[in-house]
Amino acid sequence: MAWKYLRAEDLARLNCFEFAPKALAEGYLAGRHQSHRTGLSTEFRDHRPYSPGDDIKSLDWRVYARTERPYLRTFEIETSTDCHILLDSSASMGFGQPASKLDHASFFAAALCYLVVKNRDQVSLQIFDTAPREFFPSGSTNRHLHRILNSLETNRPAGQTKLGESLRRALPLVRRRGTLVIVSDFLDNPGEIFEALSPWIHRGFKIHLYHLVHPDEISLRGRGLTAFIDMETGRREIAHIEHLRTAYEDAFAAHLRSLRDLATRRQIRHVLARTDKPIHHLFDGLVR
Amino acid sequence: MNWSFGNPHLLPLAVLAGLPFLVHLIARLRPRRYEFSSIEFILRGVRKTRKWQRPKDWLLLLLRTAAVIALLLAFLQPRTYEAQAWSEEEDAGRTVVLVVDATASMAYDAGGGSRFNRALAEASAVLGSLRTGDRANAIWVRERPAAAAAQPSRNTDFLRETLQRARVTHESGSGAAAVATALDQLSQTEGPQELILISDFQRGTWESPLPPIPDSIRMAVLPVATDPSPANTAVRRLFLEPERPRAGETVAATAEVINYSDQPRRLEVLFSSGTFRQSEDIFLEAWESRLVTTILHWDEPGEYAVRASLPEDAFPLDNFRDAVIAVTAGTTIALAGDPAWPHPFWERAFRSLDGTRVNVVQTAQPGLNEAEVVIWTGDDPRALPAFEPLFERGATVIWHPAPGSAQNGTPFTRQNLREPQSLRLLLPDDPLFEVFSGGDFGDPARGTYQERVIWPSRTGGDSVTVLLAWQDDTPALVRESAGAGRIYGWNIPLEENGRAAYALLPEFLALAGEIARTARDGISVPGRETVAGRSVSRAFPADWGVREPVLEGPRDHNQRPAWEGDAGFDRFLSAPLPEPGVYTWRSDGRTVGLTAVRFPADQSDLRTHNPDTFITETAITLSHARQVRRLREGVDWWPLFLALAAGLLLAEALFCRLARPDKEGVPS
Repeated sequence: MAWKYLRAEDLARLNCFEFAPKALAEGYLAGRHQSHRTGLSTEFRDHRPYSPGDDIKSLDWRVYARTERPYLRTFEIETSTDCHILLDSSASMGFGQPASKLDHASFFAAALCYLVVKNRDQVSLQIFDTAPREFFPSGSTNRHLHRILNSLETNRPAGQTKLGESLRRALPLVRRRGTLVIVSDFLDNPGEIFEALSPWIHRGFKIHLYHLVHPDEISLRGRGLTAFIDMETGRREIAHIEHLRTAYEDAFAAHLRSLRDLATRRQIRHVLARTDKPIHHLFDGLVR
Repeated sequence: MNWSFGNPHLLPLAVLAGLPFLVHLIARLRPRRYEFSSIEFILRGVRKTRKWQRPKDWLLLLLRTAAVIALLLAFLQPRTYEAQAWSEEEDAGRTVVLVVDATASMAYDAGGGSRFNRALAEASAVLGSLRTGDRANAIWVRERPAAAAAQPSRNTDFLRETLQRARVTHESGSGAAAVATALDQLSQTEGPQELILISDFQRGTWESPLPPIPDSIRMAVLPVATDPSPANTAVRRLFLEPERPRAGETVAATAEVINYSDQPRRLEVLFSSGTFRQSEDIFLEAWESRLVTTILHWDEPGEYAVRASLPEDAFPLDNFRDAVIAVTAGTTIALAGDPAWPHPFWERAFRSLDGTRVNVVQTAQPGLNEAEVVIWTGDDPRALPAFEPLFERGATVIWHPAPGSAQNGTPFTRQNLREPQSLRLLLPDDPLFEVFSGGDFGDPARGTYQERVIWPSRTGGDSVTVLLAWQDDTPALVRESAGAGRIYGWNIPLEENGRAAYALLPEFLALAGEIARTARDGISVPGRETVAGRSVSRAFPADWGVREPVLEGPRDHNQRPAWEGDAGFDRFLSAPLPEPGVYTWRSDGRTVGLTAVRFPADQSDLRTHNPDTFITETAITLSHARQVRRLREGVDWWPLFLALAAGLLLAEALFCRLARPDKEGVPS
């Protein structure tokens, strides 16, 4: 079956990648993701002094021979991880021709879901605008993937961006911590967004913010007197593009800087996803 | 100020002036729609730029509207006419007469060229504004108004060449006289007539009121003096006393120095004559004049030049002044008429005076014309015209009719009084009797006498002054002016009955001496002094043998004066002498006389009139010659509006470029 957001040529390219977020997972299944829990594995972690009751099989005899002190060799166990994707589908995500920001976001989300499922990890997807619109709990089966892809294809941009509210309402739906990937244009108050992200951070989520930006949003194109229509609110403002351009770009750049500063302070990864560039470079930090 | 449009049919296009507003309104009514992800940042930008963007928009709109209006006006070709504009209806064949001031004050250079050079430039510009068929002429204001051409002509090239060759003179002049000459020329022409005065309107030149200007003549004045308060110092006068000194006699040379400025000046006045040099420092307050005197003397008879000079200033023409003085060997007394009587008394009296040279000559003899005093004992008044040359020089004739003349049928009748009569002094304050005022020289009316003549009535009248009279009012000593000289009528017996009478008194000696002194002071030699720009006539006694003299002036201003015959003299008339200084009369290699040419004193005060105060009401004061064309043709404004439109569009483009905000990098 051919998917709009996961075409055959995309699959061929995605097969080169492997989902591997730079975060320790706490999955209950043995897998590829590192866990702080030590266990059966071939991956050496470090030595620790022997304590009564420790398995004597782990004793490092060579160290004992040299130091006459018993030390145990510990190994890291590998486990599965959860990837939670929050996809912004507000009306502003419909901006851009011929492919809108939502199209790019959907491409990215679909590819990420595929990589996670391919890696036998679990992925959940939540589509939101003002509030969560659609939610797919964690799953790692192909059927789960197909359901997500079906939903992405029928998804249409609508409503206002209320990322903070959506994050607060999405948190109870996620049962296990993992990697949180938010794909949005972040046209909301940065303070509110990061306030809503605080509980996620406290729960130990590794958060990635994928900031969808159309080039025309970075730099206003065109000239002359223009009536700007807000795609979310329908509000209208008439202004001369030439006169406005610098002030607009200043304001937008300030918004970007604000988001980036807040993310950096909270050790959250913020990635500017320009719609005029391929999505594959966005996987840095998520795949290997 | 009146308006007209060159292209009035384009006036409906004036509605296009509202085009920028219209475009602005339409653009705001139907802006391009742009669905944008979020106008939050748009609104922030609008809020940020609103404060200065709105004034910028209005300014831009204003610039564009002004540019369109200026462009429309350029196409409409507006033209303005002043209220006093000269109508263009009868434009063809106008006659323009320029009155250009060439007097000495025009040589003043306040920096950037003399007034005269500017006048020439303005005159050329006026000529340049003439059209084919116009006639023009130039009248120079100078000692005698001179026209460049006999009458206004169409040959303006000739006038231009004349202007190029023209030089400022050192002469005075009358603006009114030049205007009269110009009016005379204009009166002989038809069509529109224009009279344009180009001058500094220096006070001396334009002192006389202008002749009435007919209403049909368009008149304009163009002042060329740019310095409102020109400063100048000048030697205004130089005079010598006595005017005919004897050799060895001291002479007081007095110069009047004046400061024509509102600042005090310290000056060095230098007197020079031959090898003589003497200077004196003086301090002059603003507008002050002062007399400075020095004493000179000459040991040999002859003519000498004396110069008083000041340090050179911005107007150097009047920084010096020359005078010529004739030093004589003594007073020359001539005895004419019947030598028998009473010549011996007079001769004895004059010979006793110091420095008196007594020549005994007869009427019409050559030497007579050199005399300063002539004792004439003739009894026929018809012989008096023979003394005319003497009277022209200012000589004195003592007419002492000989007794016994009645026998010849002349008007004079000898009279013997039965009772002696005394004399009365009628005018004790007369300069002739000044020497007697102290009492040291007695009483000129002393004594009683019985012989006299009955004085004829022809000598009566206002011109006769009776100085001494008999008791019965018969004149005893009368004085009558004759040309520049005078006649003393003597009716006092010097001898009675073979005995000395009045001649015996010491008062006779004193009175004779006073007559000789006053006679010497009255002597003048025409042609010793003149003013720049005038010719000079100089007469030399025929026995001097002056033939074809050359008059040598400063800076090679040499000429050969024309001979004019005169009784007993060789008279020569020069051409106008152009420059102040001393001119030397030379004949056969010898110097026969000097003539001092002085700078016209009225040209030293460089202050100018405001032309508005003395020209007619209809005359227009111009600041430059280009305004003449404006007066005739009005002022075309389309080039200005075209330039203005271009400037406004350029300003609009620059404004748009400068007002464009700089881009700021966006983080990637």
